[in-house]
Amino acid sequence: MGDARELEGRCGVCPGETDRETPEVLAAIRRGDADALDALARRHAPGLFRVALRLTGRREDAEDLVQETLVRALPKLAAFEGRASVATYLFRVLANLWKNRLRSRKRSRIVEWLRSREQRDEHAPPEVDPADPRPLALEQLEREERAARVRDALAAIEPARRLTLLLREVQELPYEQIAEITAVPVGTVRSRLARAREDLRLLLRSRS
Amino acid sequence: MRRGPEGRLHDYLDGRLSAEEREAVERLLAEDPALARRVEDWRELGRALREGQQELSPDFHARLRRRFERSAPEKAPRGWRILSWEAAGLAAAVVLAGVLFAPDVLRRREPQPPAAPADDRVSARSAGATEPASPSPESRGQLEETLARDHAPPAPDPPRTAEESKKVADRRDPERDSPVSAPAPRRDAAEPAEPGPSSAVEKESKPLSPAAGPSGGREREPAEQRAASAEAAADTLASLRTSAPAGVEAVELPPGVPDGVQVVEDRAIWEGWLAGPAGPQIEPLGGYDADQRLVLVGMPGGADCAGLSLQAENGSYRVRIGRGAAAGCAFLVPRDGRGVRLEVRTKD
Repeated sequence: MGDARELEGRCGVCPGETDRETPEVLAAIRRGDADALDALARRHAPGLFRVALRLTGRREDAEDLVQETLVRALPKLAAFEGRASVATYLFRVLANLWKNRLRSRKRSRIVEWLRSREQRDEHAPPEVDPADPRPLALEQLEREERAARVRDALAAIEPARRLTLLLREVQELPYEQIAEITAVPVGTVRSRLARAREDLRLLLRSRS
Repeated sequence: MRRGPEGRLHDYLDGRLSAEEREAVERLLAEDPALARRVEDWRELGRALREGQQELSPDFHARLRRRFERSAPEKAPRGWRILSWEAAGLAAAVVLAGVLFAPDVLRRREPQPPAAPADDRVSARSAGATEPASPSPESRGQLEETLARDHAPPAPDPPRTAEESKKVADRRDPERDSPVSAPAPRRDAAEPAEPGPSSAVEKESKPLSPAAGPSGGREREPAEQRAASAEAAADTLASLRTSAPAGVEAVELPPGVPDGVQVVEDRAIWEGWLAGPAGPQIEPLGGYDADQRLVLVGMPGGADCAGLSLQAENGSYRVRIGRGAAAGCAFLVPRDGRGVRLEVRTKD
């Protein structure tokens, strides 16, 4: 599957890149070509991982989520008609699996117990002045500290908003593709994105 | 498309405005430094989110390949059934985890609502939820008997139309923003679903049969299930402490499961347990299978922990919870870090 291997790059489907698998790749997958499947996994895994890592906050969890996504989704591409983007489809599977994990977690009393103190007001808006004129000045922080602060704040964002934000900012997907992945209208993507950005800004301000 | 003033700012940020609109926004920002700072904050946050991109582990694809290779569907053994990942999915793996959580924590729990109607239970299970029913001495006895008994294999799934599936999916997500089918614009509802997680979830969301009849005799734990040597047990625990489990997603339990039966969902939970006050007391209780992919651990010194056992059976696992086993003494831990769904079924 030389063609498919050529697709493989360092970042897979890089942020902002349009992906649409060629009919040849899809045909190879329909024939059961394991190399084609492997090449497709290599092509899409990095992008999925970029988002998954920020969704879950842990490398191990992110890799597990991506693996589960690929294991579930890729073999079914034999029935894929190629009209939708494979990346859209994979992100959609990933988003669903992640939501299922979140639901399961939410319903676990153990988790509630372990995290109740931290998450009692999980999605409550921080009490800060939205019009505070001071800049966030994240750039003044060391890179690691900046990443850690943003990551921590991100975990407090409402999940649907968080997913939307990450698909946009990390993977640089257009609103329309995010709408397809999250199965909501583009207007909802826009409003979620706006809320997520502002929530994140206010959270970071409240913690600074 | 209609956009509010703030929506326009985000469109500006995301390059979705025409040249004319963009200039208008830039004029606005030039006149309003506070607004400009806000937009710059958003832009900076975006940069921060993209920073520190990590790459996949070097062995990621090798592990993925192995996971594919193990993905043959599991057979459904009697009574207890580990549902395989979808046809394409994982499978070979194992796992689950039920937890009999610490009694003092349980005492703090809120009262449970009455059991949901059958449909709701189905939808809840579809979502991977685990909501144990309220405990009662009767239900515990019933559970004990139920768990101790061999059960008939579950009935096959009734076929579900696409419309029914959608209803289930909609119930599963009250916000209705959780896509359950893959993007497949050309397919209509009557066609087999384009690949997507929905089919996996729905296949696994079979209604549970009602619990078996009245409570029977007290279940004794077979000696072979306690056969692990002290050395092996110590090794097992040491291994568990360094290879935390991950990925358990859903456990379905029969009605009447005592309060406190829970899922060890992820590494954080397990680590929390080990790091908590109960951590030093946690030991393997024996009864794990040769592969040690699922291990029963707990606090055997506790008087409430009698009668717990785990038995491996053809890739499935049977947990016995004795009459004396109260909530708070043990839980099951998956060892290989791979998600597997365990479904507990009861006999009709």
